[in-house]
Amino acid sequence: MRRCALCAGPHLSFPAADSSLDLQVCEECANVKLVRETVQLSVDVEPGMPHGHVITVFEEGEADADGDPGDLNLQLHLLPHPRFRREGRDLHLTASITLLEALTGFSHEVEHLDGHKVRHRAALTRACRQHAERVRSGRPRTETVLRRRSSWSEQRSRSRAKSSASPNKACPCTAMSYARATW
Amino acid sequence: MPVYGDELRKGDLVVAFTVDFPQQVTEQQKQALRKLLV
Repeated sequence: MRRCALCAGPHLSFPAADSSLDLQVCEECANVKLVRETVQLSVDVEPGMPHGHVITVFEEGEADADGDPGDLNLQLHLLPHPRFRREGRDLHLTASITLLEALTGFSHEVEHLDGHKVRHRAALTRACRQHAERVRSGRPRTETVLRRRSSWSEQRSRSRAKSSASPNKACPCTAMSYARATW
Repeated sequence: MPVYGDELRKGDLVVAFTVDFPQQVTEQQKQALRKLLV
């Protein structure tokens, strides 16, 4: 939005007859020299907004030929985090454990983005061939995926753990991890 | 992380553990491992 340099009043723009320039006239005084205004805007970015989400700020865009202000559209671009990776609504994190920890069980603490600690204890970790076994630069590595259930699905996870007598046929390893995970 | 538009729901935190295998195992350690695991 542009304002008059002398009286700071709003202006109207009219297309000139013989060129692509606009004829800009102040509504409140005779001045026709106009300057671009710098405004600091405060925009609320809510938790969970996805990459590419567009936030529209009403009537803070450029004025059209009639002087009506357009909207300002802000598009969010998420920068990569050094530790966490976002996939939809899930956060992914990779941590290393020793072979001894994998065989005898371990306790692992993760510091979350907001600083609170998430502790995971596993009595036994088993490799999951479907998810994980892979070789990186000639060095054998095995991953086991353990999933932190969120509050709304925690009960479902616990009921799954109770019924671990009938493990998931598609991925017995993951079922084992669900069953033995204590959060 | 929180689901946008539904504050009561949250996504999962998925932790993938990579197991670091030892670079070298001596013959003595191998025999001990065989004894333990077989």
